[in-house]
Amino acid sequence: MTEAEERRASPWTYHIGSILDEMRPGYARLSLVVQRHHTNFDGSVHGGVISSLMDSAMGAALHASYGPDDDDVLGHTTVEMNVSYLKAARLGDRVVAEAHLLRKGRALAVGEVEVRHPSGDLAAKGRLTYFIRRGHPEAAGE
Amino acid sequence: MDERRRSPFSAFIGTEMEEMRDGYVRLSLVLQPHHTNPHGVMHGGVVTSMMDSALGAALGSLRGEEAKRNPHATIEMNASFLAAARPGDEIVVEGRVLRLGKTIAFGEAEARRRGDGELIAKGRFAFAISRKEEGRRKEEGG
Repeated sequence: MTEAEERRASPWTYHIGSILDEMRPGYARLSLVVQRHHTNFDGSVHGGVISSLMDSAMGAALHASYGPDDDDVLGHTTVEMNVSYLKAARLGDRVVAEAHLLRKGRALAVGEVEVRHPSGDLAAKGRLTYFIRRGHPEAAGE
Repeated sequence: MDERRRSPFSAFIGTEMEEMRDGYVRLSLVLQPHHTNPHGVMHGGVVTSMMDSALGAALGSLRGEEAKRNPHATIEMNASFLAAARPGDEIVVEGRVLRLGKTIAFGEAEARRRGDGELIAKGRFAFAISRKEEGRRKEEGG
């Protein structure tokens, strides 16, 4: 993706400075280098940066999973997420978020995301649930 | 606005601290186009970041100077996303501490749209309270 495409894909993902490294059906990998504006007072990464990365990575993995049977998909929206923060990343660390889709149904999709430190240690783990909106675009006007 | 009460990441998002008293914090944010996902609605990571910040600060209001010596860190969070919000909407997040223990604290947060009061998201968080200072004293003393 070009920078302009990436910005269009998700303005918030672009704004926080994460990079989409890989995206294929049911899988996506994003990375981010922790900078000063991503931190708490003590230099550790803010939990919201990690949850943002997770939501973006999983959204991309789900998006990439849509096949010919999904041409009625209008979009998806996060309905629930939980995150365990296991080991805080710090200023300068490059963290990698890997999202795997666990199941995709007609209306719901569930996936999990692991965020790792440069050493490979797990920084956080999360599970997210999405609602998939389907229908015909012309019939969906509100 | 007192920047010392706002972490670098909260400043980056643009949240404003409206109220802070014992165990309670209210934050707000007027959504901008860069806070959105590809569907043009608020990215889930924005509201989880706000809830995390509100509760971190609410806990700080109870712990006072002790929070500087032994900082607290988010270890677990869950969020339900209940309604979409769009650029121009003002999001108000209220965080309340449910319990402050010696090593763990719990809190919950609600995000509403200012004006109609619609509930946008709700979350519950757990924090670990470090015991660095005490550990060091023990090591020195032991």
